[in-house]
Amino acid sequence: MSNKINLSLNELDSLAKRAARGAGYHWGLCEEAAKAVRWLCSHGLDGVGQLALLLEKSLSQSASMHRPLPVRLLAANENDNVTWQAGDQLCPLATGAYLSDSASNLVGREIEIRQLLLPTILIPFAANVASLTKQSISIVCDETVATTDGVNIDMTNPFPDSACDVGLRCGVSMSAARTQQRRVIADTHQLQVLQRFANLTYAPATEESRLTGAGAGLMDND
Amino acid sequence: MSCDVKRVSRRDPEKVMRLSRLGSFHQCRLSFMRTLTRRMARDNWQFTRGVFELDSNGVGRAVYTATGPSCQYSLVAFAHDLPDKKRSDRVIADAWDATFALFDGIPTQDDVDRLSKNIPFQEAGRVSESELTMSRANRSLRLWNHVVDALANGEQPSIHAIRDVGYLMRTTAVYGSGKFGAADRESIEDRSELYAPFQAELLTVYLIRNFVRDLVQHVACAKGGKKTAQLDTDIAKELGIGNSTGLGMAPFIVNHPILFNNWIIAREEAVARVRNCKVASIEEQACFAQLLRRSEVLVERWRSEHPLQVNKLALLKDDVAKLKVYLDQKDDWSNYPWDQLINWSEGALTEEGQEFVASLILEPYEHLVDGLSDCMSDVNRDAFVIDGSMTVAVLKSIIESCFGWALDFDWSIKKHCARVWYVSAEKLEPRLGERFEEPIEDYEQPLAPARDATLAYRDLTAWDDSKSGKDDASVAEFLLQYPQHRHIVRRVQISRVAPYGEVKDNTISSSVMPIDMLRVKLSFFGATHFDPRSDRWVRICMYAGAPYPDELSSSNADLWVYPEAAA
Repeated sequence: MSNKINLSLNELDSLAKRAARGAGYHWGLCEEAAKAVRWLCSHGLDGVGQLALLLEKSLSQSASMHRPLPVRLLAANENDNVTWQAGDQLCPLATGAYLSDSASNLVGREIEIRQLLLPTILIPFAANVASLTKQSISIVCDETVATTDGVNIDMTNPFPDSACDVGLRCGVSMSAARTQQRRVIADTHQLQVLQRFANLTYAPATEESRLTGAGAGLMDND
Repeated sequence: MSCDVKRVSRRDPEKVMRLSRLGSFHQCRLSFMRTLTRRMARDNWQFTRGVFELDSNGVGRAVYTATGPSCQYSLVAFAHDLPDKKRSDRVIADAWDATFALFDGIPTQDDVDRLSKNIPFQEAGRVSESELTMSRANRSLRLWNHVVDALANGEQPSIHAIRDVGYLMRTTAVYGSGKFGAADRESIEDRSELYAPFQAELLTVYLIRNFVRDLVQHVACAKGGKKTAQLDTDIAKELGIGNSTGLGMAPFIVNHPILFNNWIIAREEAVARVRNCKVASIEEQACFAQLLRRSEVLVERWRSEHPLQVNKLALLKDDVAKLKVYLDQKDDWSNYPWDQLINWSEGALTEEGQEFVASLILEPYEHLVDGLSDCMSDVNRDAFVIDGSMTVAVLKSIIESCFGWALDFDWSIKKHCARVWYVSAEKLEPRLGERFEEPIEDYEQPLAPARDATLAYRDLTAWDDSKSGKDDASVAEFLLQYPQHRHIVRRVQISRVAPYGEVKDNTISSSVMPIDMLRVKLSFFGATHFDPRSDRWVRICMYAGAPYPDELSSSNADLWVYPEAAA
């Protein structure tokens, strides 16, 4: 049985950002990862475990293979539905960021996302779209459904760790909402995974950095 | 008093946000310490010492509780017996003379026992959502023994020694906002007393000051027995709490552009409001003149050994002398006198003097200034979300507006990119290194917005050209192709709502002075006596002159930062 640790959301935010960076993501996506994990955990979902699984996939080594292809992302006609896919499995951070960035173009469309890894991580980005467009969105992940209005989420069953087809539909109605959490009760093993990646962002200390990097100099004990 | 709100605008960010100017900022009415003491006096906060269990060496624990209108907050203090050789202000220290937590409410014995197993170890311990801050402090070797010995001998310590140092203990970190497991700011910011920035942290320091006065008296009594003198209340009042601040604080102002904007814009708005006063009444003139005299004492007592600050202090004294001459010759106070004064200062004084004047003119105008304190927090969480529908052309125009000064830089030239901000594995603290001399570039933190904006601008231009100048190409499409620019694109978009959120200087230049970044932040805390110890760490004093909790009242809650001129 694994141990649990009680974290603040800011601690988690900071750790997740560094971990994503340690796994090779660009800073802007690391910031998205941090906010996404925070959002998931504050809604009682396993953001820590999901990010740990994602980072171990090492997708950033071949990032261009895992983001929506840069052609025909949106259908030619205004109300046509669109399909996003990549040369390989889609990264939920790259896909989520693009989803959030595309919010204003998604009103009235249905989006199909093919071969998405860790679709749970897409939920906070869908929440951004819901907030920006002021309408609830349902995320249908194979057979499982989650609905968010941006602030709350209605989700009964967990998403799988990868999905063949994820469908997003705007303008749905939402019923129950999960209780929001102010703390994170995280699995220590999963946190250790994040910490291991985060550690890669820290420069090994040298005598020079100890002496000058933090600017010692004058007496500090007087 | 009459005001014409249209006559003078806020100063241009291009002028205000230069590092040398930010590094010349002074405390003012909007400083967070003063906001706190004004509130506590206004709301008639009560203070009690519930526990004080210290042995003759001053080792033990104490609990001080502050009771506001709706909540209680308790400083839990642990005093230790620290060998002199272990005492260090550096973040790499692992033991301190005293360690503290601010507990949300009144702690039970179990709470204090739990904290006793964690707080003394600081970063190596854990706290919970019941704690709002965690902190530590070291004795000043220059002053502690002098005060203990004097009191134990039945005498008062030398006022000159007190003024030379300014504090008996200095804190070396005050952690809040979720650090090490503490409560997130987001979970407490709905309490009116904690809404303004850093109120929990500064309440901690205010209570630490009370504890330190009690501790030194306790240690002196243990040493001197019946002949021990009680520390004179006027001397005690001059004692602040020191703080030693290193590079950990510098990235903060870059990492929180909206919060930083809100601080700067509040002060700039206050300055503009006062400049728009057409007439200064006799009372307003008198207030300004009185506080100028008291400020002179503050400047006179300001000590530093750092050549840069020594020079700035000498120039500030010259500036104050010039200001007095200007005021002596001024006979018309009915034609926007504060605007005239600011305009004159910009031609006659150094930046240190200009910012001294800008802060001081706010003092007579409580009714115009103090309400701006409510605008200095960051609650705009939506600004994080990138607007992907923005066109590339608009994004480029915002970069030109916000970072135009940097777009012509050749960022491959060594002097422009000589430094790297990184985090050390040793203590997880921010450090500043030499890009071309140390193996640290791979660990670079995103703390060079001007460089990053320039690089993004070049890619935006090239991408735009490759799409035959399609002005309607969206930021969403650009970022899909260039995810490396996502961080700076977010910042650039944030600059639309935070015109004072970006430092208008190169933060990785060979000549960058990190102490400028420290000083601007500390000035908003309300710190005085900035004393740089190198180009990247600084000592300051907090609460010197402030009333202790048992003396706090509406009459002394605000202007305590200015020493009485006659003293």
